[in-house]
Amino acid sequence: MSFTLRERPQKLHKRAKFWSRRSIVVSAAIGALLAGGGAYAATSWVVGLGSGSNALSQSANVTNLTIAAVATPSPSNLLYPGGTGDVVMTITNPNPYPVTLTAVQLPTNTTYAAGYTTSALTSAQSGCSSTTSDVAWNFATGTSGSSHALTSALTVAANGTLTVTMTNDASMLAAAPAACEATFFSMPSLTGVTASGGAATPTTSPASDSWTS
Amino acid sequence: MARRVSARWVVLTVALSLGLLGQVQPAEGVGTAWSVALRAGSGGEAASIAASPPSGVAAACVSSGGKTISVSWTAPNTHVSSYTVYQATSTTGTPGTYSSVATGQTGLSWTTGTLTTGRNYWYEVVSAYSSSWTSAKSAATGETTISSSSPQCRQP
Repeated sequence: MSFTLRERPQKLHKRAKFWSRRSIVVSAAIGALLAGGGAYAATSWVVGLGSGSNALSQSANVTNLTIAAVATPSPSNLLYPGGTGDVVMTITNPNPYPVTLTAVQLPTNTTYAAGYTTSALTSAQSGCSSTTSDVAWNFATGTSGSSHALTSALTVAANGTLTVTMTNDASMLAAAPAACEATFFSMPSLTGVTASGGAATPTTSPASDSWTS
Repeated sequence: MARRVSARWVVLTVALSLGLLGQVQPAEGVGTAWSVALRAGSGGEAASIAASPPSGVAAACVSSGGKTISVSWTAPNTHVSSYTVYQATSTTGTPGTYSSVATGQTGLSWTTGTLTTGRNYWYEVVSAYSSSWTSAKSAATGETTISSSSPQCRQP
């Protein structure tokens, strides 16, 4: 909406001053309302804390992150009996601000990965299931939810994704069955991550990281 | 003089609004650490190696006047825990059935004991990654003959 004023110069000057101050006040009020609306939208996303996670006592008003298996590890660092291998994952952040991960929480060391015949993870590998594969997260313990610090913090952009290779963070027992040879694994779900939100420079994708204890 | 007062008012309003909206933050506050739940199915992808046999398996006379053969090979990768050597022998140019003659070999070669005069020998090697993970047999070596005449150990 616009309109034109026709006033004498002196009155015009006074009115200009008046409108200038008033416009600032009104603008600020409207801006605060709009920002408050955005903040309200943030608090309306309800997420519980993952069971077994080392959560703070306050509720986390953020949207769940998602981790998915979308790529195969480099053939230079694959699993073998008694050894470790890389895990590739893509982290999706649906929140309207960057989220920085500093630690992961793991399931138990007897929570095994399911084996598949191809990297699409659609056809089960006979004899290499989540019961028999002997493939688990490296450094996982007998207690679910053990927390393991990342070597480097990972920042996922607002409404963005980050693909990261976790170096040597899968392990295979020496007793793994021969059926698990030349197999692709869908790693067990993490029980949670430790993260903080707010302004931060997103990590360039793809990235490499790990936890080493 | 006409004034577009409302235009400036609109510009100022929009500028302030955008500035505030650009600073949407989590309710917990910037830098506050908390544990975030993950959607079900959150994991990643790993893969395992294929058990591969050694390459370049070769048999050579230890000495032309002797009756022993040295078998050598090249490791397929760094994850093999040991090797098993298989031998076939016959009096003709066709190898017989291969049988295991050396297990748990951790090096990249193995030497026979004294072999039988008048027989031909062939060798294959298997990589073992664990007690249950073993590769297929390698390609066979060429024939090595232990002869009664000099040179006693010879290869075609």
